[in-house]
Amino acid sequence: MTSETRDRAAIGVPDTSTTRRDTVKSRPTRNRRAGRFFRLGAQVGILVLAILIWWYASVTLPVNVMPSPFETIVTLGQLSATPGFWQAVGVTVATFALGLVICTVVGVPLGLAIGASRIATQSTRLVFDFLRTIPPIAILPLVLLLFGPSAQMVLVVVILGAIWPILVQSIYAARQGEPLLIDMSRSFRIPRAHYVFRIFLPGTLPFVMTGLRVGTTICLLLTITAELLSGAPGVGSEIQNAENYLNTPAMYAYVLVAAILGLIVNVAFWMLQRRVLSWHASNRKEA
Amino acid sequence: MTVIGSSGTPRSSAQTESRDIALEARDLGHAYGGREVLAGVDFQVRRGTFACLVGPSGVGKTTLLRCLSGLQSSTSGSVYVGGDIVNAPMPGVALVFQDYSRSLMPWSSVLHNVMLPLRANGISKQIARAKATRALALVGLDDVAGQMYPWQLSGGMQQRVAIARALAYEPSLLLMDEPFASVDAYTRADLEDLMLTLQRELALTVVLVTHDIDEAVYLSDQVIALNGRPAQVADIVEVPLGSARDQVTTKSTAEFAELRARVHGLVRGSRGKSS
Repeated sequence: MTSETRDRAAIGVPDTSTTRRDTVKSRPTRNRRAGRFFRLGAQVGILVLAILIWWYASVTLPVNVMPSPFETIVTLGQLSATPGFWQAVGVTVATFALGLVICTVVGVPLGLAIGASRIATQSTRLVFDFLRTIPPIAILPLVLLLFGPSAQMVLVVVILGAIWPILVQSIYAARQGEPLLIDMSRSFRIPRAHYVFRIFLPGTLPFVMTGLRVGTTICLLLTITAELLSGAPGVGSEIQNAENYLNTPAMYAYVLVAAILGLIVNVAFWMLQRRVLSWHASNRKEA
Repeated sequence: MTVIGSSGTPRSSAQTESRDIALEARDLGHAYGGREVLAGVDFQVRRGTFACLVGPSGVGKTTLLRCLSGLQSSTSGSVYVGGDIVNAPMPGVALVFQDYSRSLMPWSSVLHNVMLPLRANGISKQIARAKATRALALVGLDDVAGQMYPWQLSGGMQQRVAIARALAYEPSLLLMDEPFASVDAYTRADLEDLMLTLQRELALTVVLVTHDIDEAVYLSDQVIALNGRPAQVADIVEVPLGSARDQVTTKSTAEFAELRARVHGLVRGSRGKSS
């Protein structure tokens, strides 16, 4: 494995850039534009197909199992005019964001510090591997008992579930330090602090970002799941409430909200990654 | 130990001569665990000359260079740079690695890669930038290249960046570990000529490790041939080819062929004999 493919694998990007790069170089602009149109067309086509399947399911399945796409959108429009809707979205987003910030602020520095030491890495591995395999939902009853069905309780579940990929990936990031850059720094007598901030930390970024991306998704999923199961306020419990009142269109409207939140978070993360890791093999543009 | 044809300086007078000797290894030995890789390595490199350490792959050349640079401490004997004993990386000693793609930082521009050792050692931004720009110009890279990222350049150009980084550091001794082993033959020839020019123009002391005998003879004022297990200095061959060298004409002279054959014999194990 070359270092480039390894880097690519590190942040989970398929190794297509070489071929893409080559075609970009060799093909005339017109073909490139045609290719972009084709890709866009394919994306829209798949979306339309998915909506059609949804619609087909809604007319064939028994009544009240699945509303049609149109009905769902209309319900969503009606809901979005109510203050309760925005309150639920606000709580969910706030819990998710706070959870992510806490996981990052704790997980990344702690992971890097542990990873910087081989002994620390080896001695903590067993405990972390044990803790990370506990399904966060399994501790829900306990946390519910302690905090009641509140945003605070959801936050605890989110942190306990989402910190592991961030922590473990940060440990891994620190272990991946390029030995040649250490030699280079030593031979040029680069002071330790300068090495850490200018050479070591930027090198860990691709691996840390992978952990953050996984952690971000888990944060959002757990926020909504914990709300749904515990009845703590938020989009999750709105899904549950709508279901309890057999208001299927409202339930699907809130599911759609959860999906849209996920999409926004993913796109935001993707943009952040392109910005922060523009130098990385997965984002490189030839000069 | 078995050092034939070393410059023969009595060890006691080494201190007085330290002004002319940029680098000296005295009875240098290294062992990994119980496995000896270097034993009794003795040689001196005169200030302002180009010396190549040549030997077959796996002979311990990289270990030797790491000991010379202070990145690794030897298990016996000692290394002197400008008369000072080496215990750790010394000021004024720059190192160029074989693997340019891993020794440069992909998140920094070419210019900032070259500036980093200067900035880290407390040189002001303005002066560091000026020195880096000048060093890049010396290796044939302009301001446009300076703004690029290393990975946007070809392998040969990246190695030029690594050389510029070393030059900007204004070293009294430049150590190079198989610097041209990862580039194609044409680029390699270009880089060899670049190093010859830079060494003459800047009056640098260069110690280059290579397994390529042609390269060693072509570049060197003195070839330090290593062989054996543990590795020792088989012989030190002076290369009187003058300062004006050319890939075609120099390499086709009878003198070059003879030196080449001699070093070849040494590296292969027939010590001190010219074949």
